[in-house]
Formats: sequence, structure tokens, C-alpha cells
Amino acid sequence: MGIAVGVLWIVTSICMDSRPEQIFDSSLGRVIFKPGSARQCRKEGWATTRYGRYGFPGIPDVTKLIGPKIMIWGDSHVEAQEVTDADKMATVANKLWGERHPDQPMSFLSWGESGANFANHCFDIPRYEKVFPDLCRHYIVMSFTRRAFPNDPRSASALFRERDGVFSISEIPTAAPSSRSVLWRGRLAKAGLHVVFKLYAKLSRSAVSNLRFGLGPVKKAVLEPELPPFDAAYAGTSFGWILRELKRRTDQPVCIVYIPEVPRIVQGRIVTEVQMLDPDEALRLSAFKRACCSAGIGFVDLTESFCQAVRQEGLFPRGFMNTRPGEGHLNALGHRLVSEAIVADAAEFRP
Amino acid sequence: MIFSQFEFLVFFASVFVGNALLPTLRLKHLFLLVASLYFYAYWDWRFCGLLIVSSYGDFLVGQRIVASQSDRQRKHWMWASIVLNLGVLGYFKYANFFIQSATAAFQALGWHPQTLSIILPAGISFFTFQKFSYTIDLYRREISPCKHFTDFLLFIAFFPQLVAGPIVRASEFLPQLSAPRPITAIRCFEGLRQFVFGFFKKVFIADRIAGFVDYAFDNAGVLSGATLWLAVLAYTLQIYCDFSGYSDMAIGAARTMGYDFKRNFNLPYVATNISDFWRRWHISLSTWLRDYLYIPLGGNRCGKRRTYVNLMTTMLLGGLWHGAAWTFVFWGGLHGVALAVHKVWRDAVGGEMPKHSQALKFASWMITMLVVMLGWVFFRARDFSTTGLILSRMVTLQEGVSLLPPVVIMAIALMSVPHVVAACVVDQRFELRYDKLLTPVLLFAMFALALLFYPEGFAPFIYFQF
Repeated sequence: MGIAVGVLWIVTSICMDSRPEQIFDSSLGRVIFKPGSARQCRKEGWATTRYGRYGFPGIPDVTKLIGPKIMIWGDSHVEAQEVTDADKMATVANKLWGERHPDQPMSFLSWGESGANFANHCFDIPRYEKVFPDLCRHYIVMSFTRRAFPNDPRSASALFRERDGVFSISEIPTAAPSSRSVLWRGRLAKAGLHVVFKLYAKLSRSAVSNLRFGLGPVKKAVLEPELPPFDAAYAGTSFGWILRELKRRTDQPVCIVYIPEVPRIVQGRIVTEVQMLDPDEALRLSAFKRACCSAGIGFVDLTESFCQAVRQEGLFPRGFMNTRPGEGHLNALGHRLVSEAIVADAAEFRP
Repeated sequence: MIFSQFEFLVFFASVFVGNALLPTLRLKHLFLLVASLYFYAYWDWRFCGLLIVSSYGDFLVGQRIVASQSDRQRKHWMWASIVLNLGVLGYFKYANFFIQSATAAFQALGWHPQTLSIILPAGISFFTFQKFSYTIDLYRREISPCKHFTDFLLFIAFFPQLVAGPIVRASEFLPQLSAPRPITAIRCFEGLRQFVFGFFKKVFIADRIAGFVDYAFDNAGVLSGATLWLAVLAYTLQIYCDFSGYSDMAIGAARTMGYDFKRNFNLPYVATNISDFWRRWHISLSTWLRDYLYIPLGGNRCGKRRTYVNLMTTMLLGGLWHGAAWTFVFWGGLHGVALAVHKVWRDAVGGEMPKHSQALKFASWMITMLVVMLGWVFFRARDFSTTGLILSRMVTLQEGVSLLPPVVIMAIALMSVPHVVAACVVDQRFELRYDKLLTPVLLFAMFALALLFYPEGFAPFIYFQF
């Protein structure tokens, strides 16, 4: 039996996703990934992320970086657990900047959290500016316009709400992990026992409560649409509100970088226009661009550069060998395209 | 409920314990019957009525066949059962197929029929064939009639084989009802061993590569030829692991409860000719078709031309049994042609090929595999235009989006090992003996790996759709 367990341990420690350890950082006032910890992602891509000081992925000690800092914010696309540290957008941006502007020191950092929306950025930006006073510019990588839209059902730790025409943002308090939890997560992670977390998830109350023993047929749950049908006035008002709120919380310039869901393969064709995938998303995007312009916030649209990559090189900026081309998170190419756009834009606005 | 669901493990454990503890055979049968009906109702309780009523009809017909005085009357009752069952099967499975196929003809007559909203009852193709085996074997006086309807219903509805086979014959199962094998530790071990093998093949192999196969067949127009070759290879593996995995789980589950089903797969991809392939693939179906269709049509006893006609008829209908689409019929026809060609070749060379010619054996295996894989393209693709698109891109090695998932390549490599060993060393199924140290190690590792890497989302068995 020991042999079997040994084989299982080897296979799962190499081939299974791991959970990173988390601690509460009092200077940032939030939970971060424990410096020195690592996270492996195998389900999508094949990468290991190492967290440095203040929980930054791929940057061992942010305090040793030279020059003013530029922060890249976003959701899981910026969290980027699917790509190696060397391919993450902040690392690539640092490399590109160093090559192109060796006499102008500048450092790029990134912070992403799965499901993070603009409400998160409103709270996080002032926090990080307090700890890093040399933050001189903010880029927000936006994967879907719903990240800037109120009442997004997939919100992470902060909410952007609209009720009866009144907009608000609020943070969902996250409890600091207990010292015992930190200790045991660390030990299990070091021992490569990711399988324990997987088993826990499988046997958890929610997994057990989803079991069905009743007779069929099972009625398909009618899913509510994630966002209401497009309303130009409502979209303009909502986007305008959140962008102004964002601008109010920082004195530094902000720029939005939009990463489209195209190019994508749909029913045997490569689709390169957002409106072919989701007409409402295309309309929301136009409204968002106008709102950025009105609010004095920069906007970089990567649709053309993403589609050009597939036209010229036959490569998709999203997708991995173990997923599907054009779907899911950004791969190394996608991170490179984002970094190039950010570096080019930052070069025009050197402090 | 599918065998790889956690709910099934709970259900099976309960049924096993209940069956073992009940004191009398009658009670055991009733218990298993109730459990089997629950298993079917878990999918859709409304169709339990169809199962019960149609089974009762065949039970009564069986009694009439036995009670009939003349052979002519016996034949009439047998045909009544066949026509009735074919009618039910035809309605649920083929009504829309016939409507769509005859659309042009209907429109020429001024009709514009709409397709019907029909739910296909799970397992209908399988239990219909089982009922045929009962009435036909009764007519042939090869079996005794079932005395109790509950026993007959248990034969039809027994949960391990109800929804996706193996097709168990009345002559094999009914005698076991009156005298099941004793439940011993070794039988339980053998049953669990086979169940774990099947679970591993279905969950760890088939379900892992299903996503890639579905994606590739849906988007063949943009994928590279190499990707499509990999997709076809992957589907070749997927359908084998999915279906044989299910069969193994069914056979294993039945064995632990004292009932033996015959083997349904015997490493079909080591076959060196198409006839051998059909002796190894879905054995319960191929033997059923041989005994109840091919031989009654005349088999190979009515001259060469008639033999080929009988072969083609059997295989075309076998293809149609799989699904209500012309691609399935074509798949059956393709295998029919291959079988006929093999027959011609065998007659021409006067028997089997030289034993020691490894090169010939390998070439023969390659040709067989290519024919089988070609057939799977028709079997899997949505329609003929998709098939044509896939085949043309494969043959020309068209450039396009490349997707070569390492996990798929590893799965193919992993499953190649037992096939290569079986082909080169010993041509029989691998067995892990209960008294060997390796056995619990391997079984535990296989089960745990399958459980830990269980795919998210529901992954039904491929043959559920038939």
C-alpha cells in the first residue's frame, strides 16, 4: 500500500494544482500570498508562480526594484498562475523597458485576483500607493466590460452595486487566515501534498450537498443572464460613475488596457470581431471607451494586435496545450502583447 | 445514474449489502428488481412504465409461444413480439430519422411534416435486443419460459446491463436467476477488480480526452491535419475505453452479486483482420447479430453472393442500430464491405496468413486499424460533410491551428502498452491475481488516480446515446 501511496504522491505533487499559502499583511491591510511560497497550475497551462515580498508574483523583492513603479491591475488574467514568472506581463514589461529605455529606470509590478472588478481597484490603488509612494501610473487590464459594470454576479472581494439609480462600492471583508491554517498549508505545500486540498474539496459539505438521489428527470436550471440587455444610457452612466470614482482615489494617471475574447474558434471558424461573439459586449465596449474619454482615462484596445497575431503567426493569445486555442486565460504570447502595449504607452507618459 | 458517479457507489454498496443479507432467492430477486427500477427511474421515472409494460407484453407472448399447438402459431407469436418491439424502437429512435430522410419525398407530395418531440428512452436498443433473444430462443425451443414476470422483468431491467449492455441473452441469465453463484470473497474481488479497471478506463482515460475530441470534430475546418489525426486516434481510444470501461463496470458489478456476464471486449485493437476485430469488439452485439440476423438470413450457406448480401445487410442494420443517422449506416456498410473483402481475400489465399511472417502480420494490423479508424470518423462526425472535411484535411495534412495536448498523447501511449504486449507476447486479457502483492497496489492506485483526476461536469457514456 505504501508503494501505491508513493506513486499517488509523486503523480499528484507533479500534476495537480496547488494552493498557495496566504497571510495577512498589515501594511497593505489585506491578505496576500505568503512571500516565498509557490503555486503550481496544471489544469490550465503548466507553470509555477513564486511569490515575493508583499505577495507579488514573480518579483522576489519589490523594494529592490529601481526607478518609479507602474502597477498593472486586473483579474485572473493578471494573476496569471497559468504562465511562468518569466512570461508574466510585469516581468516581460520590465525586460522590454530595460531594453528600450536603459537610461530611464522604471519598474513594473502586477497584482491580480480572480474575479477582481473595478470596485477592487478603487480600494486597492490607494492602499498600494500608501506603501509604494513612487507608484506613478496605473494600468488596469480589463478582460470583460462586466468588470466595470454594476451588479456583476461574479464579483470577487469587492462589489460595485446599483440600486434604484444609486451607485456604490463596498468591500467584502476577508478574514485573516488562522496561524494554524497557515502552518499546515505551508507544511502540506512543502511536502507536495496538494492532493489533500483536492480531497477536502471533493468531500466538502457543498460537494456532498450537490449529490442527487431523487428520481429523474432533472429540470435544467434556468440561468439568469449575467448582465441585462444593453441600454446605452445606463451603460454610459454606470461606466462614468465607476471611472470617476477610480480617478477620485488616485492622483496618478490611469489607463485601461482591454484584452478581447477574440480571436476565437467558434463552430469551425476563427472569429475576430467581438460583436460576432457577443453583440452586447461590443456595444458595452463602445460605451466604455466613450466613458474613459470623458473621464480623462486612457484606453488601449488590443483587439487588433490580438487578431493580427493569429493572422500573421497562426497563434492565439489565449489558450494552452492542455486547453483550447483562443479560450481561457492569456498565454505567454498574450502576456507579451499586453506588455508591449503597456510599455509603448508608458513611454509616452514618462514621469 | 452512471457507474462513475459517486451516487452510484453509494447505491451499489447498498444493493450489494442488501442482496447479500436477504435470506431467500425470491426476496433477493425482488430487491434487485426494485433497485434496478430505481436505477432506471433515476434517469427518468416516466419511462419505467414503458419498460414494465413492454416487458409484460413479451412475457405474455412468451407464454403464448410455449402454449401454442402448432409451429405456425409459435412463429406468429414470435413475429408479433418482434414487430411490436420494433415498432416501439422505431417510434422512439427512428421516427425523426425517417421523417428527415424522407423530407424531399414528403415535400414532393405537398406535405411538410415536422419532426416529433420524442425523448429516447435510455437503453432501449439494448433491452429490445434482449427481449428478442428471449422470444426467439423460446420459439427455437432453446430455453424454458420464465415462470414469474418479476424474474423476466429482472432479466430485462437488471441494472448493471440495463442502459448500455452487454446484451445479455435469456439463455445465459435466466438459469442464473434460479441458481446464482455463491457470493465469495474471490468473486467479490474479481468483480471489484474488473469494476476498477473499467472505472479507470472510463474516468482517467476516456473522459480526459473527450474534451479534445469533441472540440476537434466540431472545429475541424480550422485545425491542422496533424491535429485531426491525433483527434481520430484519440477517439479510437476514447470509444474503446468508454464502452469497454462501462462493460467492465457492468460485468464486475454483476459478478459481485453472483451473476456472470460474458466478456464484451477482448483487446479489439490487436486484431490483425476485420473479422478478428468483430470477434473482439462489442462481442455481445456481434454474436447477437450473427445468431439472430446473419444466420437466419442464411449466413454463408447459400452461396458466395448471398453470403455477401447477408453480411452487408447485417452490418448495415448493425450500423443503424447504433444511431438514427446515415453516418452510422455508412459506418456499418463500411465494415460490411471490409468483412466481405476479407472473406474474398481469405478464400483466395486459402486460409490464414503464414504464422511467422511478422511483417505481414504488422501490415495486416495497420490496414485493419486504418479501416477501423476511418469508420470511427463516420461514426463520430455530425454528418457526411464534416466527415469529408476531416478526411480531406487528414489526407492532405492541411495546415491550420495546431493542438496536440500532451495528456492525449500520453493516454494513447499508456493504453498502447497493454495492446503491444498482448499482441507480441500473450494474446489474452491481463489479470491481476488476488494473491499477488502488485494487485492491491495497482487497483488502489488506479481507483485513486481516477477519483482524484475526475473531470468536472457530467461525462455520460458514449453508448448511452444508442
